[in-house]
Amino acid sequence: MPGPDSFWNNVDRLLALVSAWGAESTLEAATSGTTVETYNNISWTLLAAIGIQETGFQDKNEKDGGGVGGGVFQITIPSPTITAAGANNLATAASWLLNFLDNNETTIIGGTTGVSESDLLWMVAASVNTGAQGQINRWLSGESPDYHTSPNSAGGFGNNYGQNVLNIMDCFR
Amino acid sequence: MAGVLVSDHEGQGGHAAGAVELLVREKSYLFYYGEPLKRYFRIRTCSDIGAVWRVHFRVLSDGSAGLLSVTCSGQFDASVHGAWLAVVAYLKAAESSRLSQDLLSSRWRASPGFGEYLKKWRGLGMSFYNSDGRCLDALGGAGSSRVQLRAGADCNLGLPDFSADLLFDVMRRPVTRQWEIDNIRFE
Repeated sequence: MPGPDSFWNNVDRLLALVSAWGAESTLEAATSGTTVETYNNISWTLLAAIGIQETGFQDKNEKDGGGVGGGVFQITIPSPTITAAGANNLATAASWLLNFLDNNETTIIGGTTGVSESDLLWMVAASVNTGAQGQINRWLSGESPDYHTSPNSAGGFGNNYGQNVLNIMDCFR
Repeated sequence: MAGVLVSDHEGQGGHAAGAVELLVREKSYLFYYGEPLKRYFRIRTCSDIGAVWRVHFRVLSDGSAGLLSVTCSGQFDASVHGAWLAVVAYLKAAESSRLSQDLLSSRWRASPGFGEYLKKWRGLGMSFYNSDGRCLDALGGAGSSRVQLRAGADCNLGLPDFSADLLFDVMRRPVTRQWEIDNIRFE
C-alpha cells in the first residue's frame, strides 16, 4: 500500500469515526490530535470527504443505469484497474482512490497553465465526478471546475460537486 | 440529432458527470450528461469511439446541451472507428511492453523521427494506462483515410512521474485498407 503509515493511520481513525457516524463526540475523538498528513500532496481528509459525499461513508453498491458505483467511494466497476471486490474493500478502495487523485493532479497540472493551488485542489476534488480530462476541458474553456458536475434526475445539473467535497474537508480541520 | 462519437469522458460511479462530443458533418457538438444515462445500445461496441449515436437532448438554461438518452444501432464511421481500434491495439500491446511494429507504417519506421520517438517511448510509463480506450479523442477525420487521435489526461500515460499526451496520426493503407499508425508525437 503506498504512502506513509501515518497517512493510513489517519484513515484508520476515520474508520473509527465512521463506525459511530453521527456522534459528535466520536468525531472529535477521531480527529483530535491528528496531524493532517498528506501523501503525494493528497490529504487523507480529501479521501474522507469524498467517501462522505458519495455514500455518507457507507459500503454499498449502486446500480441504477449506465454507471455502477462500488463501495464507500463509489468507484466505477467493473474497471480495468479495480475489481468489484476491491471497490468494496475499504483499504483497497482508499489506496486506489489515492492513486486516482494523485494521477489526476499530475495530469491536470500537465494539461493546464496558471492554476492556483486552491483551484488545483478544487479541480482534483471535482475530477472524481468528471475525470481529469473533464477538468482540463473546463479550465481550457474558461468554465468553473464545478460546471455541470452534479447531474440531477431531471436531466439538468448542479454546479457544486467539488465545492461540496471541499466543504466536507473543512470538518476535519 | 445523429453523429459520430469522437470523445467521451466521465468521472467515477453511478452518478458521474460526463461530456461527449459528436461530429455531425464536420461540425463538433458538445453534450453534457449525468449517470445513469439512458443508453439504448444494440451491441456492446456502441460505446467505442467512432460509433454513430442518435441523441435526445435538451437545451439547458445557459445554452449548453444536456443529454437525455442515446441510441446506437451498431453503425460506425469506418474511418474513426478503424483508426481508434488500431491505436487501442497499439496501446494494449505497449502495456505489456511490446512495441507492435505491424501497426506502424513502414514509412514512419524508416523516418528519422521514429528513432527520436522510440527514445521517448522507452521512458513512458504504462502502468496506469486506462485500457478501455475511451480515454482517446478523435480529432476529426470522419469518412477520410487519415484520422488523428489524442491520448490525453484520462489515458494516464507517463505516470507516476509526469503526464504525457500522445498524438497519433493514423492512415488507411490504400491496397490492404488496413489502418496503421503513421506518426506519434508527444505533446
